[in-house]
Amino acid sequence: MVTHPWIGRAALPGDPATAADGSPAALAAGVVGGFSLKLTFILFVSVVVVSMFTALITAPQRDEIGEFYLGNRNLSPLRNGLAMCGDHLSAATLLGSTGLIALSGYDGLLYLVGTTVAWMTVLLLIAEPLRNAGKFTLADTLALRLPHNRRAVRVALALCTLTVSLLYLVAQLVGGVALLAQFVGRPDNTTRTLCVIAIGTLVVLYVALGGMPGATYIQIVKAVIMVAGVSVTAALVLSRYRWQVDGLLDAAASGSGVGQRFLEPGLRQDGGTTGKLDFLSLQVAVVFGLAALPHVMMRLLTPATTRVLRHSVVWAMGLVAFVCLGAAVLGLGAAAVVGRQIISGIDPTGDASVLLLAEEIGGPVLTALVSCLAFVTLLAVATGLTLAAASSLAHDLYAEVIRGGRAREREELTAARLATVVIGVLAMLIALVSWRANTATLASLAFAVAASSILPTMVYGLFWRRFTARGALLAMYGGLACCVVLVAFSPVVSSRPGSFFPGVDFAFFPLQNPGLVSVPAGFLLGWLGSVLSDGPEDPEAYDTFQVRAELGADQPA
Amino acid sequence: MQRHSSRHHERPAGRTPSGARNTVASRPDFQVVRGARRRIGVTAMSVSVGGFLLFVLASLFLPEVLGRPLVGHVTLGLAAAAGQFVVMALTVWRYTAHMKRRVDPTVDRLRAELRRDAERRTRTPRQERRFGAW
Repeated sequence: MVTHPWIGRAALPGDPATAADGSPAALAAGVVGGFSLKLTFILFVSVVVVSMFTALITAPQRDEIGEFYLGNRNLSPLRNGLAMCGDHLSAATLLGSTGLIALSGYDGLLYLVGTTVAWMTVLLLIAEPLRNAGKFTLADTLALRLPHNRRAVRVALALCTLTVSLLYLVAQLVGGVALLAQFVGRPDNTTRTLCVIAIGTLVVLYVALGGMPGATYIQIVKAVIMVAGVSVTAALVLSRYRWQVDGLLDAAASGSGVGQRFLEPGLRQDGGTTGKLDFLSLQVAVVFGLAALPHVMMRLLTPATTRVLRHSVVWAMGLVAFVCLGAAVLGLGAAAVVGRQIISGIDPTGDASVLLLAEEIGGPVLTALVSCLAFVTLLAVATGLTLAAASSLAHDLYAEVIRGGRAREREELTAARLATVVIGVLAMLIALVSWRANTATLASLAFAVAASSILPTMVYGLFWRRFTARGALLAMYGGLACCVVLVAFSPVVSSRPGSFFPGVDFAFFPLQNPGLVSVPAGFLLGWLGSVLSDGPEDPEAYDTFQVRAELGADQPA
Repeated sequence: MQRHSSRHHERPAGRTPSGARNTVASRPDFQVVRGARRRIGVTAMSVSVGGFLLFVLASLFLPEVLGRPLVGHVTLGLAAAAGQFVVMALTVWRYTAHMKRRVDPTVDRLRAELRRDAERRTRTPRQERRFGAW
């Protein structure tokens, strides 16, 4: 989520058209010094160049659609686990939740634990049956489960996938602009447009050329940099307090300016029940929604055997837990070393806390490393999302619904590449229009939509014998509509200074995040639709499906 | 955790499917692994995810209990947050052990049988497939 690389890019000598747009002046206003900025730029460009070449080399060679969607299916569990960890942890987690800890202490830590717990849903419930019964996209699994209404459920699930992916993708792009604003002052129109277009173009190139192999590669690179960067910085923080957790907590409590209250619940909520329910709602959306993000689920389909998948998911669990613990140390360290007042003075959301901490304890080199990490994280997550959205568009909507499954491989591959461009351009346009939106709000909305439409459908589809197409459609359209309506009448859209329409007030739903209501509603609608159906679905189709989901007959013995 | 609850095995076993492949779905050992997978899934989910949501509820509505200091600056809530990671590690350990012992052997055997049956049935060369190994 880092942005000064883009200033660096704008000021690049080889880029005369953009060098004159006044960004060097903006640069001087940034928090981070010029040396660190250059270093960030060099690091970031090397990562992008190297991974772009690798994406080209590992790109699908034989125009096989399976390779484009799933990539190399024989990666080792550790590499798969790194890629999954990369998909799971976005820049919002890294910068946003550390900022939350630096500002609200205990409550921020709770949010970080939620991010880790979310991976348990993947590991324990979804991963293995989904891989066994799946093909390329989530809708393939559902179409296999409900074969008589496969077109209708495909369209519905593709719509949900596209909504979630676009929301989260826009959140990533807007995050770039938001950080630009925090570090170099409010960016002018040209800088902002350049930032969004540069990130978007890179993402489209990665996916269109590299497909899943390219996305996997950048995801692994990002995960390695993330684990390394977080552990180095956390070690530096801990060594400052002689490796004593109590010493760190003491310093954080005094640095926060509120003393021991920093380590007690309740600093984030303003006391009222609404604030508490809002926090609970956010946690519900995170715990169930992170697991149901389409790009995370799509990666579960890539390992060739169930056993490799299980080992990969366990690796990912360990890596996610490690990074989250490290991020907790970083957040506490930021409160202890930089101080809560200074962090919230620079940026009320706290996103700048890690960079400020790095500048304070490691100088420009560490700042450059962390900035580069944040940027690569942004790029990698956006790549995964674009791939998931493009696969859904090309495979579900074009090849299966419009062409009725008669599309040739080469045709579908071309469609997938075109879909990538379409998704990328669409996301860039939305990001440019809604650049004022709050990244964290957009991301948590994506979680809520995923948790209330995709998750109920997939869980019922995998495990419930009496689930019917009507239940699936009701869960997906109903869960989606429930989220949209609740958000439209929430403080996100009107009545608050930070909303889209601050001037008017039609916010009769008090919570910022609809998860607390919409997730149970999604499950309830799925149940209701199935119960009210005329009869159960074809029992033989379910038997075939459950044999496949349980045994995964495609893999070598 | 209860290992031998028979609740899960009974329900679908009474069905009499007709196709050759679907006999696998009604076999008792298939039902046993299916039940074993569900049991560990549900138990582990309620322990880790349910436990976490209860913890969030407690943090929101019983802040004075979780804010109680334990050792030094560590409050009860902070200890519980660290405990969540321990619970997750234990859950993952139990899950992998359970799957290895109760699910994998039967699944491997059934899969091998399924493959043998399929080979016996398809004497003719396999028809050309559109999508690789599927």
